[in-house]
Amino acid sequence: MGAGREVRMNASVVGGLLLLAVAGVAFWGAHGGTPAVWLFPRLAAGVVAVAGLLLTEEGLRRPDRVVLWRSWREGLEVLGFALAAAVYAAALAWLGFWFATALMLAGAAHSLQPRRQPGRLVFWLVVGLALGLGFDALFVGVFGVPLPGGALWGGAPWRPWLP
Amino acid sequence: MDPVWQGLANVLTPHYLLLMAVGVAVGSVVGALPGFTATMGLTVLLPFTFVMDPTSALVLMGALYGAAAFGDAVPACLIATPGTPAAVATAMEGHRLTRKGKAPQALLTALVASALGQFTGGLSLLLLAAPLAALSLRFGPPEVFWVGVFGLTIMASLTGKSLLKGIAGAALGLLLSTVGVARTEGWVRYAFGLPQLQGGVELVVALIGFFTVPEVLRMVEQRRTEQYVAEYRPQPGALWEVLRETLTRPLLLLKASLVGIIVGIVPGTGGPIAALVAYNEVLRSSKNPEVGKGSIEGLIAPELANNSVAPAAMIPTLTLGIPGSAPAAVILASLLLHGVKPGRELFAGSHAAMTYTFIWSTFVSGFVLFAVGLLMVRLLVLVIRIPVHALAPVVLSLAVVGAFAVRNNVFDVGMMVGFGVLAYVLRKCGFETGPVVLGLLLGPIVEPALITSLTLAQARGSWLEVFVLRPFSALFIALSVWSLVRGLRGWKLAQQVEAAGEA
Repeated sequence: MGAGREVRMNASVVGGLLLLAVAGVAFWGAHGGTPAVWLFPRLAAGVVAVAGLLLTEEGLRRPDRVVLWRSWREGLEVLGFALAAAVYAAALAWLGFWFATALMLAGAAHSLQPRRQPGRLVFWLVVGLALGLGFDALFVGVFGVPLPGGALWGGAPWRPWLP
Repeated sequence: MDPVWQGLANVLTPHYLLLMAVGVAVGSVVGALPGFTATMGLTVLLPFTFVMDPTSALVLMGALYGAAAFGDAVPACLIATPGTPAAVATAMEGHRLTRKGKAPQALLTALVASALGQFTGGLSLLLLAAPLAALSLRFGPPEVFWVGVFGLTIMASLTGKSLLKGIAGAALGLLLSTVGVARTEGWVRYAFGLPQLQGGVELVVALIGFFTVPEVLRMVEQRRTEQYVAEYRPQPGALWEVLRETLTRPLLLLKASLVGIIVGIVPGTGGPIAALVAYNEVLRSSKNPEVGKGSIEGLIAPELANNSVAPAAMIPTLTLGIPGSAPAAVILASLLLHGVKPGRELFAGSHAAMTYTFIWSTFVSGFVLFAVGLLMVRLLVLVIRIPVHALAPVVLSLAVVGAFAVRNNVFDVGMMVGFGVLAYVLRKCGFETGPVVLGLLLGPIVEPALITSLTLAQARGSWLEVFVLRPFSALFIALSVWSLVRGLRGWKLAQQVEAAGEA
């Protein structure tokens, strides 16, 4: 599991098992009422299940070791970014769009830049705050999208002046 | 006034010309940005079109779609990296031309060919859409069901390497469309006790999740790829050279246009296939020894075909409700969200003026693209230098705004991230997201059509009569079978090639 080693997986088996799991949930969840309620989802779930079985069988018979990531480091960075996106979405209501965006932009841009420079974090924080407040002003003020102001602050600093 | 001429009169008003200019400017930047595609640009824009009337929304989105097909040529020519998959051929021919010291000629050829592609594609939309829509007047629920099935099978067979994965993706999309209150009865499906899911999966949220988030994750993955940016210095006389080289080749223009239009009409294909087919054709038929080594002639074909696709892909979208490409699916979603259904009603009913305004706009935006593109070339050269580590989080924050704006709901933002991660995993497993999204789009049309057809069959006591023995049903069943057989053959061929490679 070295940093430079390719990460591979049997895509057919992983995909097939994923489909079988979805089909299982879909069959379990489609019930009640007349056939008009459950027929269509069960038909679709049936197609998903058959495809899942065939894919899993194919993957076991002829393993297709596709490259998932070029290295573990790359994979961890992608997973880290996906996690940051989830945390960003979860923190929106509490921190507000402008502040959550500023933190996400600064953190992501700083950690993803090719060469880490400690001094650049302040730069990215300033850029993040400017963009967070700028987007907030644009979307709330111009487009009228009521983005979360943040339970922590009660809104972006510029919002008290909003007509 | 006749809606056709009303549409032309509308599109020439300052309001729509300005919208087209904005759409072209944004689309050119979207196409030029590394890792950004027309589909991503349209999905991020989609929620903000809610505040517009449907005609303005369509005109803006159509202009953006066409211009992105030009913008992607900038990174293709200057850094040999296609801005979108449709610019692969441009990256080969255009970058070779750039390396000969002819970067301005390469970019101007892309611009002129793209503008011409908008004209020819727009013309095909104007001439073919209304007659095809007239046919849809004869469609009852069984025909609508089979048209939907055909859309899904052709998409499944043409996208990605595996027919099985395509079909599974389409079925996954259909399943997602059944979340929430059932259309035929008030029974709630797959809400798992969450009140936010009772209203179903919001289309825009799913589109942003499936199309934009996995691209952002891909940007993160590929950001370390070092790129050499070729120098760009304007050359006097380059535009005339390009215009002379382009306009003196009517046969080439005709062939590339036809390729783009035909590929555009076939659902599930789009720019990448059109550009490669047109490029192969010019490589095969040209007597010019420079073609394939960096020439204006070799660059015209893929760029023109790529742009012809954009309006042509709207033909099945507007008439049958089956999008001809992924960006067309987003435009279809915009139509549906404005409460407008595709089909005959678009061309003869109260929406006719809107439809023809949009159709003429795809044609006129060719002129706008040429004018705005000339002014923007230098800016686009700078745009491609924006580092991915700064771009990826900005795109994510725009996606968040888009997902939130639909229902002003933070839950939707979480759902978008979830869909994005699911789409990323599916792509890694070799699934394409196009069939999933098409299934999600067609589910609300196909399910009620199936249930009504079954009720009809029960009442008449004959399934065969309702489902098969109707001319258009039989036609679409035959087309569905053909697309599956075709997809199966392609899949087997790909497996044989793979096996031979391994041996």
